[in-house]
Amino acid sequence: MDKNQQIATAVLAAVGGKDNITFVTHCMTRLRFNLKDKSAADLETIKNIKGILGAVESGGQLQVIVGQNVDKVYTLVCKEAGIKPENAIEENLDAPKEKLTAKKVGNNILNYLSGSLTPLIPVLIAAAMFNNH
Amino acid sequence: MRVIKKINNNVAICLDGRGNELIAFGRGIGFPPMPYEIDDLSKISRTFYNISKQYLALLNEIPIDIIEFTAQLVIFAENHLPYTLNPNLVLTLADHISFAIERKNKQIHVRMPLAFDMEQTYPTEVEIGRFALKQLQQKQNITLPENEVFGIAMAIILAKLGTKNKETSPTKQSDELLGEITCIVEQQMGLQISRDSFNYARYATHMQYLLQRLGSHKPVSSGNLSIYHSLKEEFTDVSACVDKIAAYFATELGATLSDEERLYLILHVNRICTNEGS
Repeated sequence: MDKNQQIATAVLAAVGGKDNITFVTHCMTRLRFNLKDKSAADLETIKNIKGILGAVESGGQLQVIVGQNVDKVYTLVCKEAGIKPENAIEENLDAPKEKLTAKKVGNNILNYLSGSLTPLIPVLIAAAMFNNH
Repeated sequence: MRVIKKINNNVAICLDGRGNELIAFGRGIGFPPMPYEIDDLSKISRTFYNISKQYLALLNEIPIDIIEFTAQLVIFAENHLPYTLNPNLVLTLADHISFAIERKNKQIHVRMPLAFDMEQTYPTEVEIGRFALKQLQQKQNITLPENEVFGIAMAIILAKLGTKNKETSPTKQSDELLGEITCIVEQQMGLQISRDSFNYARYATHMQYLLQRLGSHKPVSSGNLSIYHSLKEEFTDVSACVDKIAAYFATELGATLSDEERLYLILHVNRICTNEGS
């Protein structure tokens, strides 16, 4: 079986199966699940799946760190679960962390103050553009 | 999952396998006698964890399709913001949207004078608000007036819980920076500036946008530059004060102030010292 298919099948089972999924999407490296019953998903089991780099709960979501092949795994998960795939989120929480210098800290403050760090996805902008007033 | 308390026929409080409480939505879930076990999760459309007790009453007051709509909107917001959201946002925002619909039906208009500032300071949240209005139109066939965008954006902003990336959370908030800059001005010019005046508010707003411009590396450029040199000579004290502010920016934030930025600062500092200094 294809490596990505193995990962997809194992992850789907470990999050409690397709009936336990309210919503699933992905960013640049992670699958992001909104689950109905959180106790049906076991973080340790997920972390131990071959090909999975880690798992974390954040902001009510279960995030499974897959890596660069996340979009292939996502498509397979959706197919197996019978869910319509969503557009990817343009965010990378696993980009290599840069070393902090005093100047970087200052720049980080400015970046933070200048607005959201997450760029808007094209769909958002297109949606706004098509909305005539 | 164990269903333990009925809220209404389609909403119930449940306990998951770890004993954590949650609210479950599902057709007829509240109908059977309590408590009972539910094994088929496909009967549940969605769940909500960590809802505070005081919001449970809202579950019976807001139309269920508005709550479902808002739940999907909050997932969307979570995926596009660099911070986590209060889990109660689903209910507070659904309540807000439900009342916005009532306002529209009763033709009650609410002014939003902060709209322009919000557009500049919270562009992502405002964009999410616009998206919400568009989705409301498409999915529920409800058209709300454009300025409801800012009410939704505000609800999201106020629901911020914590930042997602620990290393990028700022060590100094813009309020602190503003306070320190104002102290520099007070020391340099030898006076006290009153913090609760209109002029101070204008000066503070200028500082906010200045910090934003520095962060996005978009210095102001409007052809007023030639005035800088004459002002520098005419207001030597204020200009020296602005140089001190520039030095502060350089050490604290690693940012350089262009001459045009210094020009505007001279004008603002001069105004605030003349009017509000004592």
